[in-house]
Amino acid sequence: MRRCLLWLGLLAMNHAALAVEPRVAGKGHAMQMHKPVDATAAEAAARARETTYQQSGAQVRLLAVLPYGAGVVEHWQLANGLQIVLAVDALVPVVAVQSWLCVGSADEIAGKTGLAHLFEHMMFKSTEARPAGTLDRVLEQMGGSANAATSLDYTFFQETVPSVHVPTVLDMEADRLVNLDLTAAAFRSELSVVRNERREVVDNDPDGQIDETMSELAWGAHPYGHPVIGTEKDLAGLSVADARQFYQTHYAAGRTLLVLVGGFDPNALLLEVIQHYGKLPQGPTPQRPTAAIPTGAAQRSLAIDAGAERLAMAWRLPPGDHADMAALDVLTEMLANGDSTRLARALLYDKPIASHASADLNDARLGSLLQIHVTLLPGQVAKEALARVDATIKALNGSQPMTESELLAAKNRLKMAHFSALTSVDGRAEQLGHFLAGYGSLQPLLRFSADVEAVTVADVQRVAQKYLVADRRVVVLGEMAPPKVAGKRRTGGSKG
Amino acid sequence: MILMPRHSTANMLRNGWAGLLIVLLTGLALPDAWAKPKRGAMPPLIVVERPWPPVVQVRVLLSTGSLADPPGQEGLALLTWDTALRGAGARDRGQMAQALDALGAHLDVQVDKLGASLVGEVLLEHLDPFLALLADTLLQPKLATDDIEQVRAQLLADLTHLHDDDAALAHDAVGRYLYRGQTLGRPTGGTESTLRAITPDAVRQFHKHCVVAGNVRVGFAGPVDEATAKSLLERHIALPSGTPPKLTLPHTVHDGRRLLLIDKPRHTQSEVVIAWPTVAAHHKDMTAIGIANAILGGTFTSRLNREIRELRGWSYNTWSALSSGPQLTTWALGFTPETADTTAALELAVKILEEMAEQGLTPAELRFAKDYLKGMHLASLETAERELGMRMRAQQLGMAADAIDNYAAHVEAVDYKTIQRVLREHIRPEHLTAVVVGQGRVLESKLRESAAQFEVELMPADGQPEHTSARGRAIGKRPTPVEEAPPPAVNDDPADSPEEDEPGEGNEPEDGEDGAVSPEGAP
Repeated sequence: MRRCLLWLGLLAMNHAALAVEPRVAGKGHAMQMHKPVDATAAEAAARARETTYQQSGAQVRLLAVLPYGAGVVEHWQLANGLQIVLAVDALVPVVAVQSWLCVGSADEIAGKTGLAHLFEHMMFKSTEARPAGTLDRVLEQMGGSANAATSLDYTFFQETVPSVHVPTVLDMEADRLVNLDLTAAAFRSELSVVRNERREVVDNDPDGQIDETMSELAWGAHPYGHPVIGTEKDLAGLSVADARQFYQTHYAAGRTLLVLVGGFDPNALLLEVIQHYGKLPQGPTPQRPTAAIPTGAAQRSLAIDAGAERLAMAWRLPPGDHADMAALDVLTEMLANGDSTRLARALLYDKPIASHASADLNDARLGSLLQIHVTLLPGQVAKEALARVDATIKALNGSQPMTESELLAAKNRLKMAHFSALTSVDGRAEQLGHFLAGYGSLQPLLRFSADVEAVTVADVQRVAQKYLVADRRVVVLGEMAPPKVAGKRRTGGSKG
Repeated sequence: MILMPRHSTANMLRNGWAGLLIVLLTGLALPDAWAKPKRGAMPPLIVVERPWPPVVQVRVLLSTGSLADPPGQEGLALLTWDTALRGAGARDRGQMAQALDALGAHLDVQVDKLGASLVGEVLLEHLDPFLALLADTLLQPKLATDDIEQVRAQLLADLTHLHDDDAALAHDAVGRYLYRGQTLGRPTGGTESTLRAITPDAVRQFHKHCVVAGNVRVGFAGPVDEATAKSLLERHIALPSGTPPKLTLPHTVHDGRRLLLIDKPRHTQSEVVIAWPTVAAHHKDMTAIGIANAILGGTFTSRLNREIRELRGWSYNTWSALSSGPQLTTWALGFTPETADTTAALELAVKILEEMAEQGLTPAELRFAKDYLKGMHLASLETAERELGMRMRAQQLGMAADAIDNYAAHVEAVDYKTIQRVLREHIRPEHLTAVVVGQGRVLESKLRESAAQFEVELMPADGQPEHTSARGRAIGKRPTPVEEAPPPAVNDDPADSPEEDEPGEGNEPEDGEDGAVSPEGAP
């Protein structure tokens, strides 16, 4: 199951991608059937609308109509470069409105780490037309919710609102994209919030410290090597002038992807988008960073203030749109995501030494990581977990290759995870935005179902032998800090 | 039997769903084997139907949770149901895991004070074999001694891990401290000594007493209609007769302000939670309390968020939330400031509470909160899983039958006079319980001298809140909160109980439980 790398904000997302196939009712009993939309007819209708728009002077073109979920997605683009993705679900009374900006922590410059994420926070401040707090107040008054997140490759802003209020949201989104009023007072206040966020999720959290160390070890000087939230040193040195420069460089219609999923009329909604965004300037289009994936084994022991040791392991993989990703997804599933998997048995059940073990495939534009996280039982040591993981992988690549039943179970779990992620309009919008903003195409998403279905045991064995090798492996051992020597303290409690 | 449709047409129209309703009913054609239900009682059923995606969530809710743990054996309900996942029927742990994994299915257990839930998700095409595995887990788990010992070790490890997470530690501690000495204050996860005191026989007996007719209800969410769900239940789940445990809880209120400071000497930040008890989920004032909570800390534009986060930058997370139960509700707020800002942030939060109790809301705030809650309610029904969870929770809490379908009308019916009264009666700033997880050596004296006027007691991170002893510091002259009328026993089936709700006043169920606090409203 793929997961985004280093999410901040309150969002988590699943985006393993399997195109939806018409379901076959099982065993003759009555199950609800959902009639799939005719993609060809949908494209013909969208083409007819495109002609109408262009005849009325609107500079908008239809890039594609693609089957997705139980319906289709329409992919449009305005003359200023803004891309629009529309996915209608007439069964729901709400709409997910998501603005994806093609800028993430990888786009930051040395000494200014954390600026992309800090700027995500600043986007909720005032604009020239709207005082501070207006956006949140208006959204909440309409019964909507709002949040945002920053990753290595992009930043996105999400609102989920009753359908009738979408035009108001588009008006506010277009406004803050170009008219943000960055004051020094607002900057200072939000910088303090972000430094508190860092204390919460990194400085006072052993798992956060381990993840930050893992990124540094895995990527080094690569654009993915510094923390998305920024280093404390860099955060302390940021100024409102840095924020203004960042805004002028990276926030513009030409770098924005608008994803709308839910209950709406696509014709009326697209006209609203054209009205609010059509006259915005394209803005600058800075080069995205490029870098080769680092090589070489790395291992570090980190002293943590915790009641149990941790192990984090990772293997550097190609970008998320690489042809091997489907087999790597299956490999990740079969290793640890299920109680009968090899690592679950080795760590949690057969002579257990751990209380938690998981594997994730974190895909990104410049390179991905297959990560394993283990939390040990108190008194057990991370080095023993490392030995067991290594032994499990050695067996997979040697004496105990993957079985057909393991392959089938992994595919079923991926299919389940995919459909679970599509349950909500937010989940669908995040999936579409992730692939389009991250890889510039929806094709990796739409072909993934077939790709996964085509994976064989031999494919999995091949990628395991190719990628789960020492030269790509990174290890962080979260080991217990030495016991603190302390004087007797007066307390009101006692140990249970 | 309770059979609840996804929505009645009338309610869908009232909630603005007109034009969005698509009902696809297909014929029922069951194989012969399906016509032979198991002998025994079938549990009540709730179905929330959606045509897509082809994933079904199944929830089995038992109305016996950790409140039924015998004194000295706290953790029994959790140990029982975690062990139940390790093999059932003819399958041992490994075989059960393999069978579930082969289907791509998930089956998890959730235990809180009020109940235990088996929650599973499966592809529609695998629903039938999945239900067979679920039924075995519910009705005939192996509960083998070796598995009990492994799960006991895991739960003991969880107690250790709790201390690595300041937010989890604070939320666990505040419930135990607020209801110290009461059944509600006993920890669902147990303590080291109580977990070790539980015998394998106690686990097996607990299971036997819980899984009886009248104590179990089942819900389906996804592309399954009621007739199909009913036939599947008849085929797979037949409950034995028996008498489930019944509990009637005392309801007492602590006086004054007290604060438990949990020492984390190396941490640079404090986790702060302030809580107080208020009325039960089904009480007539709960809708108004929900409105007040939206203004207090339940939104990004709430008073707490504006003052603590937006204006001062003191905390990333700032929230208030309601954890509702059939006996009472825990109302709590929280934030996570740097150590140096902790005392000032605490004082400010108490001041905001005092002002809210004395001055109430503005008419504009009341209008704002009503619109916010009505819109959020619509969004909360978007997915079948969320709706099923809300409906089953509402039943468990004894809420009015129309609490969900007519929620918007209930919210709109709260007038200005009512909200002002409710704030005066249900925010009691002179009776607050707080937990601060942070640097004890730095904070203890500052908190004692603080204008917030809490009685402060310091505890090590591995201490037990129920073993503390401080009494609250008396504040002001307002009388002690009025005792509520005796609540219903927690196992009373709401379907058989007279409702206390008045027309036009309902409440939306919150995730959570009596005595435990979770920042569900946290932005």
